[in-house]
Amino acid sequence: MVEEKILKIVRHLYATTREGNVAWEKTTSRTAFQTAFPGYTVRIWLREGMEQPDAQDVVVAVYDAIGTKLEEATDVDLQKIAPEGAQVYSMMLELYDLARRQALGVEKALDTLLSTLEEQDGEVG
Amino acid sequence: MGWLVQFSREWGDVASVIGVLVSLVGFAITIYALLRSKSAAEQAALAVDEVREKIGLREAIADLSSVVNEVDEIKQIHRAEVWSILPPRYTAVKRHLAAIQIANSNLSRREKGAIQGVIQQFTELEHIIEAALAAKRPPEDTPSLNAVVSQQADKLHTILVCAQRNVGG
Repeated sequence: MVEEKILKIVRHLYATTREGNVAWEKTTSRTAFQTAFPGYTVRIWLREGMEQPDAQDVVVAVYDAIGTKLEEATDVDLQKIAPEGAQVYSMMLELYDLARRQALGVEKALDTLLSTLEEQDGEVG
Repeated sequence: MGWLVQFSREWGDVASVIGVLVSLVGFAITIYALLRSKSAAEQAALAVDEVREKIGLREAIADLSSVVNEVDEIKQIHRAEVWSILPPRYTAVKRHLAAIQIANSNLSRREKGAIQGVIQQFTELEHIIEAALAAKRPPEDTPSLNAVVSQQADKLHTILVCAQRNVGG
């Protein structure tokens, strides 16, 4: 099934993003991020929940070589076919956060800021 | 005559042994010469492959340079906010990049992935601009759109510089 393959892709991206082996980048939308491979691109973004409007769904989509969307799935879609006990929403939300931080250069910015603050402390001290 | 027979028997055996030894040595020399010539042929083939790869890289560099110029022009058009002429420009860049991906096996997986990312970004830009043109209004958040175009130009330029370095190295 297509959803099972998308869940596998999401799991793989989650693991490799945590390892720092995936390059996520910003897109035209402030809340969507993408990573690309030869011939395909994957995007992740948040959307108002279909089943719970006050919650947000995490959406993943796969695009082909010319940018046509091939498939899209939310955490709700993937939870339906995931093994019992699988925490699909928390995994996808964490993947989204990791992608966002990497695309925005959050880690690097914080490291630079910390370094500056420590230098200042050293000068004052 | 007996001594002659004796002599022939002794030295005949020796001669046979020497003959076998000479054959073995000759055989070994022939195999060694064959291996050396095979190695030389393989080395020649490797050298040809290396030249072919460098030519391929030079073609990729020329293609990438051309696309970098196209994207730089798109940046200028974005700043000038002449939206109507952008969609065909985006399409041209996407097609050019797709052709580069297919034609240049010398590009690394990472570089091909980066190019694919640029194609995706321009696809989204195309959708946004087409929607704005259809609604007869400027696109929203033009600074973000301009920033995305600049990032794609920088990405392609980085790939170009790496490719140039590989040819030079």
